[in-house]
Amino acid sequence: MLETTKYNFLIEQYKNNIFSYSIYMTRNRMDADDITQEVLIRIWKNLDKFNILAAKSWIMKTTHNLCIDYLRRRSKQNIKEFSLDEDFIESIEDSRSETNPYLSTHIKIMHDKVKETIKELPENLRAVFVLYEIQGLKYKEVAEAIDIPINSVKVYLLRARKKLQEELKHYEPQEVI
Amino acid sequence: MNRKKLFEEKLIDEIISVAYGDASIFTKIKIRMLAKKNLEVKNLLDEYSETSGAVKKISIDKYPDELLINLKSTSVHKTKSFLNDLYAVFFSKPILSAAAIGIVLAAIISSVYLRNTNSYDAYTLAEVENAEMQTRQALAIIGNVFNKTQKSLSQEILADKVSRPINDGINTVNKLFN
Repeated sequence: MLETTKYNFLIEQYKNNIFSYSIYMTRNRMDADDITQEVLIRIWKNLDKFNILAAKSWIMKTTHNLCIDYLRRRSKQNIKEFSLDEDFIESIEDSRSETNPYLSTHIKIMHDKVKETIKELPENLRAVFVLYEIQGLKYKEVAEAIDIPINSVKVYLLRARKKLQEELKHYEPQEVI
Repeated sequence: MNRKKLFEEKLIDEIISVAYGDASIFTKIKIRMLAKKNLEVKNLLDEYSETSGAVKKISIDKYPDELLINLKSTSVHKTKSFLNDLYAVFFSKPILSAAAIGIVLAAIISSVYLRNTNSYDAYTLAEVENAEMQTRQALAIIGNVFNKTQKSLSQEILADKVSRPINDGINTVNKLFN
C-alpha cells in the first residue's frame, strides 16, 4: 500500500522531468517515450533502495545513463528526426491574431530556435545545461546525476551558455517573414 | 596581452552570470555600472539576457498520460486515496509540512506553559486560612439555624399546632361515647 503510494507520488512528481530530459538528450520522441517507461519501471523495482528525499538525483542519474545508452546505440545509425512540431505550428498560427504579429512570431521562433540549439549542443554540455537551466537542479544535484565534480558542472554550464549564444548569432530576425 | 585576454574572459564570464541571474550582488552592480559606461558590455549583456530570458521561458515537456496509464496497468496498480494525497503533501511541500509541524509544536508547548503558570500562584497561606475560618463561621451559622428550626418544630409547631388539636379531637370523641 505504502509502496504504491510512494511510487505514484514519485511518478507524478518526476514523469515530466524524465520525459523532457530524455527528449533533449536523445532528440527523438520515441526514444524519450521508451526511456521514460524504462525509468518508471526501474523506479518501481528499486523503490526500497533509495531515500525518497534524495530521489530526484537518483532518478535523473538513471535517466541520464539510459539516454547515454540510447545515444551510443544510435550513434551508428546517425538518425535525426526533429523538426518543427505541431505545437509550434499551432503557436505560429495563434500568434498571427495578436497585435504585433511580426514581434510575436519572432518571439515564438526565437523560443523554438533556442530549444533546437540546446539540442544541438555537445552531449556533456547539453546534459549540464538542461539539468540546471530547464530541470532546475542545483549544482550538487547535477554533479550527482551525471557523476562529475561540481567545478566541472560550473565550467560545462559556462561553456554551454557561450556555445548557445554563439550558435544563436547565426539567427537573424529577418529570416522569420 | 595574455593578461588582457584573461581579464576579458573573466569579464565575459561575469556578464554571462549576470545575464543568467546567478551572479553575486556585487558582480551584478559592477556589470550594470560597466554596461552604462561601455556600449560593448551593454550589448553583450543584452544579447545574453535575451537568450537567458528565452531559456527561462522553456517549459518542461509533458509526458503523455495514455502512456502512463498503459504502464500502470501493466506494472503497478494505481491507488488514489487519502493516504496518497497526504504523502504527496508531506513530500512535495516539505516547507509546508515543516510549518504545520512547527505550528502544532508551538501550540502544544504554549498550552503546557500556560497551564503551568496558572497552576498555584493566586492565593497566599493567610488567605487560605482566612477562607477556612469564614467557611467554619458560615457552617456554624447554618448549624444554629438548623438547631433553632429543630427546636421550634418539636416544641412549638408539633406541640401546639399538631398534638393539641389531635388531643382535643380525641377528647371530644371520648365525651361523645361516654
